[in-house]
Amino acid sequence: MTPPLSGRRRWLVRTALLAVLVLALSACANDAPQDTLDPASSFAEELSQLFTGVFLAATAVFIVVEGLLIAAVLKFRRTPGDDSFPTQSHGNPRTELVLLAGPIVIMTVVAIFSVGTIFEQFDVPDDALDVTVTGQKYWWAYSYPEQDGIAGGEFTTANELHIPTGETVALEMVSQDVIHSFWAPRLNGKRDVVPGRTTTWKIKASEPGVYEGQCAEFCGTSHAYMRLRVVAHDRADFDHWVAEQQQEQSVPSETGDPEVYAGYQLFEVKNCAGCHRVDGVYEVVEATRRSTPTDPAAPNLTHLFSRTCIAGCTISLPEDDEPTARNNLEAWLRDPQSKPGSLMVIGELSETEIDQLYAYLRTLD
Amino acid sequence: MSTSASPTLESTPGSGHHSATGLSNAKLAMWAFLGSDCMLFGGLISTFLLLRTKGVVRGPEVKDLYDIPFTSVSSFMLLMSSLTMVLAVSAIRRGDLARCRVWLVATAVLGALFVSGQVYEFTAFYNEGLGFTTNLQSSAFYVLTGFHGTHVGVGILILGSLAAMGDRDGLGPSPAETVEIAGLYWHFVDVVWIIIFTVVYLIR
Amino acid sequence: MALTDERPMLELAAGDPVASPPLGVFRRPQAITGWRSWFTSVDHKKIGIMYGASAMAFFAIGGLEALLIRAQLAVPDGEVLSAEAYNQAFTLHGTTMVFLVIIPVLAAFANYFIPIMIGARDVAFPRMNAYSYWAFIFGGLFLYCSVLLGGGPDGGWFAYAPNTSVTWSPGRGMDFWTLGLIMTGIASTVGAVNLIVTCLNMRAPGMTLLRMPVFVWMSLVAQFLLLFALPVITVALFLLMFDRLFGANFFNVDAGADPLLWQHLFWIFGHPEVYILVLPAFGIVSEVIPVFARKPLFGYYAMVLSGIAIGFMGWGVWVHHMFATGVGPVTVAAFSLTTMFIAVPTGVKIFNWLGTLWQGKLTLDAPMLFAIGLVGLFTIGGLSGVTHSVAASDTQQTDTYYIVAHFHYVLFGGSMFGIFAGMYYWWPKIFGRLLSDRIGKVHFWLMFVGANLTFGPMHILGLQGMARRQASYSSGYGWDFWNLVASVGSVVIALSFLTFLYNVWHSRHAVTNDPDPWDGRTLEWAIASPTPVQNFDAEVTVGHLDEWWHRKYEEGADGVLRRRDEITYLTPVRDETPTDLSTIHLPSPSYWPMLSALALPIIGFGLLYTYWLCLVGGLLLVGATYGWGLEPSVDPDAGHGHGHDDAHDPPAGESSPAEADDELAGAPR
Repeated sequence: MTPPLSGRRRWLVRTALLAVLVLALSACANDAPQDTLDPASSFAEELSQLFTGVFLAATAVFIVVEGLLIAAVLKFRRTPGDDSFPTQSHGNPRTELVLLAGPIVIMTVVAIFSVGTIFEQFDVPDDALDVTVTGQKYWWAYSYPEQDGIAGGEFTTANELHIPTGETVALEMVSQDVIHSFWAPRLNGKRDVVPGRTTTWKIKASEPGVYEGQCAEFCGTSHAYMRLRVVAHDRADFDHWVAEQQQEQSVPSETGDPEVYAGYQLFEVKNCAGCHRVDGVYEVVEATRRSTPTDPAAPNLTHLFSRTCIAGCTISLPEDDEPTARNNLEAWLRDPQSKPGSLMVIGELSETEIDQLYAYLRTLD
Repeated sequence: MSTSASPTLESTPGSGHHSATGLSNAKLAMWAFLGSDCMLFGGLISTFLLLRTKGVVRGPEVKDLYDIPFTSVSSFMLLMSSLTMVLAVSAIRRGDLARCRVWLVATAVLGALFVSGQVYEFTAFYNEGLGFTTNLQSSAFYVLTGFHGTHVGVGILILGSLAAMGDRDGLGPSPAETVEIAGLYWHFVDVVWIIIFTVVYLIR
Repeated sequence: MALTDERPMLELAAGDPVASPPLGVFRRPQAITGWRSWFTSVDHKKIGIMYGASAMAFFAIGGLEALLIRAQLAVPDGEVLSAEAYNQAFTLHGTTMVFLVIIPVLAAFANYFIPIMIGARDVAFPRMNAYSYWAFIFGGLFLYCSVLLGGGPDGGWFAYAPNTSVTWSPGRGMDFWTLGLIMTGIASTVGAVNLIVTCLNMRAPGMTLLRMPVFVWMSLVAQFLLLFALPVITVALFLLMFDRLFGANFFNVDAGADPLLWQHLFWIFGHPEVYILVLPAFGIVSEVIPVFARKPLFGYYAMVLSGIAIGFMGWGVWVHHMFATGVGPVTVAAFSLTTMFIAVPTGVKIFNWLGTLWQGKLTLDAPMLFAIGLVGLFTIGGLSGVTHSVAASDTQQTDTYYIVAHFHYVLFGGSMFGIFAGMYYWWPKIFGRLLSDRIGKVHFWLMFVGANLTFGPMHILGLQGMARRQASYSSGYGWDFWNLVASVGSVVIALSFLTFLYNVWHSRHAVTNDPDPWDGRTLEWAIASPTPVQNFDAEVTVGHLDEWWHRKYEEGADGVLRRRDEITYLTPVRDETPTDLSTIHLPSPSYWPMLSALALPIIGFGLLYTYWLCLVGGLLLVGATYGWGLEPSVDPDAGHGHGHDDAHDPPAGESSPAEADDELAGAPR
């Protein structure tokens, strides 16, 4: 029953304050590629500022309330043996009204400053670059329709979304199966991708670079492994990338590299072509809504080796490190179930077959 | 619901009256339950209204199958059962147990006719190609009207039990209130049907 | 569901001389002591204890699931759980803590203390009360059968369609989840009807609504929320069940369905649910703080009104769970505003607690520490809630660990701290044993430090972009350190719970017969510890808020408060001769509540495996309902009680079937 010593109490308070300080500092940790408070676009910047403003207001209230609480606990302790009563106050309507006014005023101020941002966030400019985003278990597909800024025909890629720096990109988003959520934290908040609906979102990057993101709505076994990457280029580089993506792949010649040709044939024999498209080579697969896990909906592999990641961006395909890329891709071909919940089915492959498939896939650059 | 809209919320000290609100526990409980049930039907009706706007992928639309004259007649029977229910309550209030039992049975029979109508309607719809799993509307329609039909069915069981127990003096120390509480439930089920009939069948 | 709620009307045969044994099946149970009595008891106190014990068992299970989750996430690329197992673990953790821990443990306190605090002898419908408990425990066990029968549910406690469809969740787990929650929903609905009628109708003379203790008020508001919120999720669960078991199309996008229907139904229930979980805990600390501050609650009316206001406003904020779904900007803006302003009545509560503490004479015993812990931690949860209400920036925080931190500060820092405050406060009244205050303080500090270590870092993780519900993460996102800290914190929380269990074990010798160890203010402290079976010997007439305190203290002519010379307890206390129970009218034990609740899981198994079992369950349900209806509340053959006839001879026209049957007065006349 002995109350803790007040010295110990003070020590506790000091430790707590120190802990808060450490927390605050570490929130600015480096090496956090999805840090929402390290914005890389005007959209994310605005959200970060909005959050910080409200957070500071909340912190002020926090300090007042917790300060009063700690003060009350320190100040109004009953000394043992003291059986007297404090003033029996039942409350004071005037104080209570003042206290009621406090939160009302604070919330009104927050409301005034924040409501407009909701409408801003929903406003997607007409001249934005349109990209159709398709979410499915457990990867993202991106289609670039022909429009101002993209001449020369529609094309589709997966996992990595390429955008021109400084331009607003409008995402028209659909889902093939369950609800997903598109989120690249440094570029903007998240927006759900709902089957049966088309949702719209916008992103922008102020600097060229690679921005990490992920599916943010629980979508099944492999939800944690449904990552994404946004690559921002200068406009010229972007145009170059677009032109490259628009080119169809060519059918390997029977007289060329025999390993590549064998891989090309295996692609059909092993029924890879039943789900994966390669523009100009294997185009049978029609994109359909997925009603069963076996419906064909797998990434379009055209220009596979222009991408830096596969399998929902959980396996990297480094551009400048061919051996690692080869190791990673071959490991994936050996066991696509190594990613939990992966819907890719390939069957047993011999090492020769894996080498042949790799040789063919490597030509898709 | 009006659980709190009771005559007196404060009991008189020392009066020895057991109910602080003036309503008996059982009646108050029935009101509370009916309040809860309102939300159940609210959810089901909203679901139907939402799904009705979505059109159908296959099979017929429910609205093309309604036989309004037929359903009007069965709805009328359910409405009339509210009248017989009122007569049953009024009979038991006069202490006329025999008359009360007659009206209870009449109410239950009208309710049973309504349910039979519903069974007939379901069969007709099914024969027209609208099964439970045919499309969105069919699932929503059968679940909504089925939940209501189940409520009517439970009501029939209650009325039947009351009528059967009447001769064993089984209506408790206050038969009038027992019947009245059963009546509350029955009228609620009728009112819900009026809403369903209006928004599901008549307003398209 | 309808059947179970119709019973009050079917309870017709009160006083029927041939009704025992009803239907001639069983001899009516008569024991009110011994282990068998627990299965047939209709005593609100025993049922309260069973609720509490079951909920604490589920708390241990839900806690183990939390430990598994934290073990998996302690380091990057964790290998403790597979992704499938992880998804089941967080689904079960959320479902268990919400539906099988906090709701029932608050129901335990409500069951045990509402009747006593309002001066009643039992709840309005003692057998329905037993039914609620059995339906809850059978529903909970049914839900957990999934783990043994082919895998737990894996769709999250929020179970967003269409990920929970048979296509995407083909196991039986979600079926067990759906049916189990329908059963616990029935339990809570019946319980809500019962407790609402109890609060409104069973109050002792003079116990006006505005003399009810704040705990009773907050529980009453929560029961109203349950009453109206549960049917909405019941609808959603039925639709999901029809989809999964019978091929309906409610969430079938191929047939044109809109998955947002589920989210609306779920959150129209789900947001009031948050207040269902936290308001009674607020009620508990509103009882504890005045007692340990030796002064009345600051702003009783403000406290009650703000609770009611939260109850109403809680219905108008559900879309804030859906800010990222792309519902239109006007909807988002409207719900953003309502969400901001629900902070106002919540703030009122915090200020009133501070006002009560201020200038008090605080005794920092374990119950008070937990109560103060609630005020401190809930403030954090409330304020992070305000940051969530800003819809635009919430698109960054929603579905991240920031919101996990937010609702754990609300539900762990709020509800669980309140619950443990109640445990320490009321333990001597319930069991006649004192929990050690010294161990209690260790418990508090472990739990307080553990909660902050676990949930504090989650704010940072969320801001750094860690999404929730991810089964693992890679190094290189800046998440490694704080995840490890959170996992260490979860072990500290586990230790704190073990400390509590040790304290319970330790208390077995700390027998106390002190009826009023804390110098309490409300009626439960005016009777013996542990509570005697009859609660009160005679009808209580209430003249004040904090009635018991007013019976103990008076203001002298000099304006100084002093203890009255003579204080009359309302039952024999300490070593006084116990009351002769043969003169007291108590409800008799009954098998029927348990049997009719047992029908629910049988029907559930029938739906999943073979429809024949549904027939068995249905027959049991109907049979038990009639058995119940034909059985008088008070057994005429029982050894105690002085029979129906002289207990009930009300003037014609004033009586009711319930009065003769289930309703119990504060005292015999």
